[in-house]
Amino acid sequence: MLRTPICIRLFISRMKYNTRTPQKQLHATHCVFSTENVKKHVVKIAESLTSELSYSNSMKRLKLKNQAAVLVPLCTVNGELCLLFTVRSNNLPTHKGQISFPGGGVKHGDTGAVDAALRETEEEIGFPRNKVDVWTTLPHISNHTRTAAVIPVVGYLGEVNVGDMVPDRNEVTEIFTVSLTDLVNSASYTRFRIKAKKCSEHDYVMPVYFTQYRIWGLTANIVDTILSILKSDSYNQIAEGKFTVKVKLSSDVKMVS
Amino acid sequence: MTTPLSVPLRDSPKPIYAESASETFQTMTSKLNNGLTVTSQPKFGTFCTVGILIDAGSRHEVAYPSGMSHYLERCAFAGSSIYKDRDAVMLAVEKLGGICDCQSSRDTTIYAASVDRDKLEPLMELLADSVYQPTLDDNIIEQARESINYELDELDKKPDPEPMMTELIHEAGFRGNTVGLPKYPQAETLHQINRASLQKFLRSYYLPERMVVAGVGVDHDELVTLSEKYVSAKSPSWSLDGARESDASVAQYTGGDVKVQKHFDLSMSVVPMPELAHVSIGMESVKFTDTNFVPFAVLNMLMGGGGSFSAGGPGKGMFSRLYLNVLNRHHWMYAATAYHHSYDDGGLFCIQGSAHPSQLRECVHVITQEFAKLTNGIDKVELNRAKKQLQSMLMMNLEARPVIFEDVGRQILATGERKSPKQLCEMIDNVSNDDIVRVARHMLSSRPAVAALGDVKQLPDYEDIENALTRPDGKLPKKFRLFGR
Repeated sequence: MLRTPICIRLFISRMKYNTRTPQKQLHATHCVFSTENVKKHVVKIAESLTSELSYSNSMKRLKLKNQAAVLVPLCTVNGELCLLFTVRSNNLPTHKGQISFPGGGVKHGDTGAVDAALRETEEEIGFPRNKVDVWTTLPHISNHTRTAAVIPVVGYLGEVNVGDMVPDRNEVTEIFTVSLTDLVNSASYTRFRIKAKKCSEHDYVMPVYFTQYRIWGLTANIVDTILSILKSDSYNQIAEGKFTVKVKLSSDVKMVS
Repeated sequence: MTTPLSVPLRDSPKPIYAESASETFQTMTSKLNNGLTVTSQPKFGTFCTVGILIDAGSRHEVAYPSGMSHYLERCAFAGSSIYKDRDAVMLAVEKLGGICDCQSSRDTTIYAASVDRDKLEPLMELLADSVYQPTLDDNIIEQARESINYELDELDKKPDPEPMMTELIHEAGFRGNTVGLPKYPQAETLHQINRASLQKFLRSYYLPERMVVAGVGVDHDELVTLSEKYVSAKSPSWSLDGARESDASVAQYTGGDVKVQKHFDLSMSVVPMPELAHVSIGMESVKFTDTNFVPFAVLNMLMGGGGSFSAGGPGKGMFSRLYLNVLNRHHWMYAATAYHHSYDDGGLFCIQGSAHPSQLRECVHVITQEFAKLTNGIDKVELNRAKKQLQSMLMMNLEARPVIFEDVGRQILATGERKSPKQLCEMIDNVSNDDIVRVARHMLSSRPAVAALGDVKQLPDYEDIENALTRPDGKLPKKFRLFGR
């Protein structure tokens, strides 16, 4: 169980660093985190989310024309745990210039969502698929009208240097990374009305992150879910609405990362 | 007997010139212990303008029936603990030598008065009482409701497209959130605005840390002392215990379209009025603290525009692009105006056109082409004219004390500091052609917001408009119609 190894390791690191670093700031740059433990944590949460009955029922009601998958690229940059994002090209027909994760539609020849996500990642940012350590998939994350949904495939890329990556200019203008800590600190929210003129029970809240670029929409929803899993000590899930995947963590599996 | 004026007179004393003391015109700001900010701007004159600005407006109403702030505007100065009814308030203000007013907008509510300079203390007492101790009894609330019903009726019947178009373009640009929420109370939820909901709104948003007391033509220390004495000194009439719901949503530009198919009843007008359809096409701009804000302001001036009545023809002297390229060339366009709406976390730049419903497609076409042309750059003469016009408009407006008051108050409320007119003029001077092209590109990369009002059947599809704006020539696709339009 997660309890013994991680608590002891962190207890020790807490003792070592307590005099110098306030507990809240204890994150990856100060202690060497174990990706194995982070992976186990994410896999465990993903499994519990997928198995939740109410969620799987609502997924059956999704009317999806095509299946889409994205890679949620966790990576380390200078020892710090980060997420990697792409800026979509203005040449694309939809969502021009928006921030997104590498990914796309599941096509003929793909064995499934994971395969599609890895293939698209290789095409868009040139990161070889065999170098991605796929941890798990999360349940579909959709937009508020539930007309579009993607399967997030959580994968770990290891230590990366964005400067070494060669994006496909037709699809990706730029690649950048943001640390999980910076994402937590740049988080904000917007509450939306579904009907412009009055409140309704279907009104919803969407997260938004003001990093060097504004991260919003479906991508922000995925970031919100990841931060709720990995940064639960300093971050509360922002998204609210009938479409959200609620991340519930019991106290013994809280991650101090 | 010739005395040249180019050399000093022999034996004349050396002149001593007065130094312009810039310190006298510095905006001063203090923060009180309860979170209230007090700011003042010295100004010569017998009168002063003082008011309270509150960070509360229609953008904060997501969890409330729309129009709370507008309703509060109607109830302002209508009766409070010291002054029992509106007549009593007006009489008191008259005695101080002036007038008072309340104005609410999407992001701010302002209670202000202009009175005799030496009547500052009674004015502060009156302002604080009006803001913090409103009676909001049944009488006042019903009167406000009647006045709003009348106003909504007028909005519906009058052929003047403002302010409906402003509402619609905001709704299109910021779908369902913050500044995209309606400013006016909606007929179907008006009945939900009552004493309890108004008090909940006041409790949630009328907090000292969300307020600025601003004064122009007053002594700063005096203003601070009086603010400490009167403003939020007592417990407010809406009680601090009770339900609260406050929203800190960030404005998110969405783009999209909003169409209101409507027939304007022109039979009531005295002079024959043309039947018009109105369309506004906008794109994302920037928040007013952004470095690109001033270039957008210059762009707004550059595009300019107005009604065709003012166009007058080439010799008249209306040189903004919407006059030169649009109103002077297309006689069927009744109006073309550029607007820039900017808030502390986002903005919208749009061009609004009015034409006969049968010309709606051409109207849109003209607008999309004007937008696309911006990426070709502006010639030096045109750019300098726009910059000069903007500077002169800024300086002329800031000669008026109420405008100075609003400028100082809003800037301090939003950013905590005030950029002086001189600083703003410098920033305007520094705008280059590259800046204009850059902001035009930034704008054109966002999803357009389209709002239309009137007989809008001829409005092109949203996808066609979106497409046109991505093309360098801005042209709509050619449509082949078998049976005419």
